[in-house]
Amino acid sequence: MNQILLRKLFLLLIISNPFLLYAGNSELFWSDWIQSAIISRESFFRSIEIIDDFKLDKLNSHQKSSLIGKMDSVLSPDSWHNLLYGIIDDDESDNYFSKALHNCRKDPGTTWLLFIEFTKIKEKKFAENALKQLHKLLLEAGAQSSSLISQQLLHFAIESKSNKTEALEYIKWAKLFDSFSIQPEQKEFWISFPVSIITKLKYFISSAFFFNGHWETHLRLIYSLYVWFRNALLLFVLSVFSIYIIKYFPSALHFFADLFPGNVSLTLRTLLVSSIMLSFISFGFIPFLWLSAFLIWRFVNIKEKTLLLCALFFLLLTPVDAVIRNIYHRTLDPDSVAMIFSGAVREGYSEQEHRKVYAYCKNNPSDYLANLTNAIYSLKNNNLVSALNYGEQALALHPHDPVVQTNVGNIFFLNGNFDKAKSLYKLASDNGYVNAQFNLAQCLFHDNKTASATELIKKAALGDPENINRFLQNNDEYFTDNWPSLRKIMFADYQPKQFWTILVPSSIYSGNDVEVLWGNSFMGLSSRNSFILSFVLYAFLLIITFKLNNKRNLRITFECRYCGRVICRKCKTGLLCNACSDAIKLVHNEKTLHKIQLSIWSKFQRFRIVRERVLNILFPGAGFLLGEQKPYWISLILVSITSLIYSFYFSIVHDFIIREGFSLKSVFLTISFSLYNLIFIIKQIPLFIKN
Amino acid sequence: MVLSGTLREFILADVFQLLTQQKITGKLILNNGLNEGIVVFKNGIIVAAEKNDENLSNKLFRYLVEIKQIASNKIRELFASHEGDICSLTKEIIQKGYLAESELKFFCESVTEDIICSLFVWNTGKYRFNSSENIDSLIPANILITSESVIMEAMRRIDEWNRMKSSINENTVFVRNQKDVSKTNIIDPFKATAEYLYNLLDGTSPVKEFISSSCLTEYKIYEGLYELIQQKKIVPLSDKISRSVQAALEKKKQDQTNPVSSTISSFVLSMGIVALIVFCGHFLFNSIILFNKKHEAHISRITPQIKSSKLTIHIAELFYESYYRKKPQTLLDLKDFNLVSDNDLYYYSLEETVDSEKNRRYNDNSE
Repeated sequence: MNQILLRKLFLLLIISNPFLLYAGNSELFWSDWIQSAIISRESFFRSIEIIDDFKLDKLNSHQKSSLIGKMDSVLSPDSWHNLLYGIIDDDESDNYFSKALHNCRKDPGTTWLLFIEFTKIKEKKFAENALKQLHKLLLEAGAQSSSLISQQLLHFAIESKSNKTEALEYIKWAKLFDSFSIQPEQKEFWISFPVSIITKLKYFISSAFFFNGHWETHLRLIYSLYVWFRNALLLFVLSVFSIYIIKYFPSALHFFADLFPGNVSLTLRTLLVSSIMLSFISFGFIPFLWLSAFLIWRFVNIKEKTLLLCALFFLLLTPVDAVIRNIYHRTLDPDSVAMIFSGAVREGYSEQEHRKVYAYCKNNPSDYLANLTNAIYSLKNNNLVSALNYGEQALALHPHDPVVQTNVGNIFFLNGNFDKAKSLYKLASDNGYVNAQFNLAQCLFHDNKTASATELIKKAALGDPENINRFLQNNDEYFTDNWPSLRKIMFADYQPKQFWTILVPSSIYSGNDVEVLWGNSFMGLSSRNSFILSFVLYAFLLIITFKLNNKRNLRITFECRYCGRVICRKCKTGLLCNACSDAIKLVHNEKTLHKIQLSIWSKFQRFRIVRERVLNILFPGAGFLLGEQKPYWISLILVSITSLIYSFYFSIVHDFIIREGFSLKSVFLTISFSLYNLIFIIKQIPLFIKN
Repeated sequence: MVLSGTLREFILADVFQLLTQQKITGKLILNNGLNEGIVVFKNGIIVAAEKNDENLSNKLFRYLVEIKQIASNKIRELFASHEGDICSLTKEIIQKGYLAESELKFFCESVTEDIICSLFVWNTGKYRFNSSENIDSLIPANILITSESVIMEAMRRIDEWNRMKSSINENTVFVRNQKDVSKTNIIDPFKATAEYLYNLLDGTSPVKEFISSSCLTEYKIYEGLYELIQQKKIVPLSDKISRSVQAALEKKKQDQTNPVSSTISSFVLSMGIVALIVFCGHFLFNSIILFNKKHEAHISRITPQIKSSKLTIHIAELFYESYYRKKPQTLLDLKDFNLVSDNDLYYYSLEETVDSEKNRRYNDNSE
């Protein structure tokens, strides 16, 4: 139970952190192959009585001869037999290992398990061969990535943390198996940290702001930046409200404090009333902040009003935050159509995902993206008729979309209808889609228009050199002149710009989901009504600001000249509060009077100073804003910087550290962020001592 | 003998005379609706009297403590042990030497006479006489007061009383006319009533406070104050100021008495209000009235994390089995090998909550 409560607190700080959400589906591409390979491996090992923790690389001669005896009876040895023969017979190991790989040249599951076994027995060359074979199988299946393999390779990188070169090698392979994912980049960043900071920052910035790369990477980066700024704004709003609540609640709540008996100390009365007021947080945080704003409004000066209005403006925009978060959640939900479509384009055929999108299509026949996804999966499953059917439906629903045009063009191409494919590719390539240009070149090659085709490929390569060249290199390396059909054309996915201009407006936004996410944030009101109410309250505050400024208002609260506590006409004696007045009422000696005054003043002044210093240590800048020791704009800037730094740490860095585990780097990062507070602590200590 | 009737002007004198003539023994009980007075007769002679708001025991107690300066705890014990038997009480007082017999007798006679005379002022009410032989315990210090002397004194006092009442109100606060140094030695209130009262004046206590707290009867106090007014030694404060002073004193009394209890009660009250608000806000409003919205929002927020964690755990399980050639016994095995984090396990564990909520909603919808 305690762990759950801690996690809920943790969740408050890193809500919707993008790096936790991995792309993909629960039944991933090749998951079934690996599972059946595991079963096959286990049955083989059981048949020759090899138990779970049997270390194949540490066999003695007796064990080796026993194993040979058990395997000799097998007529047609498979990959596992050959692997064991290779382990037992050192002289012929290369031969047997090559046979083992050859036996499973069409089986990605066994190829992957062989890679693991080769890694365990430190056969690096064959491990690499196994990965190359796996990569070839991936491309043959018409896929560009396998998140399952990529993620598992990252686990190998974690295992080899101590050997940086080896870890980076695994990350390189992980990137090869999934160039669209941001995970390998993150892992590489962490392993090479702090050396690779500049390179990685360039990559992240180009993906986020220059719309390079895949829309999913772009969205995750943009969202993590959004979360950073959102949390910074939240911290800023909270700090501003906290400071003004500390400063003005004694005045605002003085009337209620006076309802308590007079012989209860003024400080305690103020605390009790403040705690009653604070308990209204239980009705909701946003309503409480609005209530506090109204309570303290008449006591704040014009500068503070401006700042509060800024903070309230951000509060007013919280329904917009719900919309943005909803877009993000809906898009990156593994069961969303956008993600399934992306999976269909990037990865190979997955029966489970195909069934999912098929069922969705039946219920939503007008969803063009679902139809397109269905078509692509049918194509990759060699069901050309079904692919054509759904492809044409998608084209009819969304005819001017280059992504639809390119992918449907692929269906026509593989169906042998090159003219139709050409016309669709032309439409898409006129919109700048390089994949369509490449595919159009393939059509021209088919028509023996080699020169035009070559020109077009060069043009495509100029447009997207990385992807086009990689595609061509892989084809040349694995397939030379005999490209599989699915490797003749490139499938198209949305680029970051098109994601925002086409995908989001058409399929991502859902008003109902926004309302569900908004929940009871503002007393159970819907997000729209909350926005309207907040707007009305904001306008009302603006109006009364002007009215209060024009009218000369009689002061209702004062500050005691000695202790500075808030008093009113009913509870003051002259210029002092009753407690200070009682302290000096029988004193007539001037010196004694002065001593008493000084002692009261210094006691309360000390408290104020300590409060400001502690605030400055915990949240640098807050103490300055409260105490008005520094110019207003400096305090504001400091508070803003603190919000940004704290938000950056808790939204991004902290999660990184949690995920990567305890290490010197994580300690270094934590310390470097605490340096910011450390500077203020160091500055405050001499002042504490002096005071 | 049965004697009863309604009180009116001068009737009491007749009743007294009748009782004296009959040489009756018993208690004459009077009631004016607010108070009750008792006059005890023995063989036609008055031997005791008391009233609700004035009785001999209280006055005697105060006299012994304030004037004779005897320790109050001793006197309290003595009075408690002779509760209801003033005769033995007075005997005990004499025996212990607290008061001389003559002094005690004088005191009892004086107070009894004052009480009886104050009964003559009652114009309305009822009276009845109960014959009773068993009245010895009610007789203090064997006093004997003849009805004739009481009647004459009462008649005289009625006029005086009306005159004094016009100048003195029980709420009136008197202040000394001149700044005198207060005398510290004790003045006998019976020998120098005016002087005694003059010393008691502090400018804040109203007349009723003297009546309730001193050893003098109401009449004596009024008489003393009237004398001081005549001598121009004291002046009354106006009603408004008196009331204001009383209010300030009341507040001061409240302030001075039990600041600790005020603090504690304020604290308890505040915490009670806080608990009530938190109960209404958190439990009633958010957890009951808006439970569905809150729950759905929570599920909406955690669902992406749950899906992500499921995926991570699926990949981790596959890797574990591929690498270690055995299934993980628990999910913690995955954590031990750094394949998943605490966050993943936590959100994975929440999957059941989400599924049960989905089933509940599905069942509600189908119903």
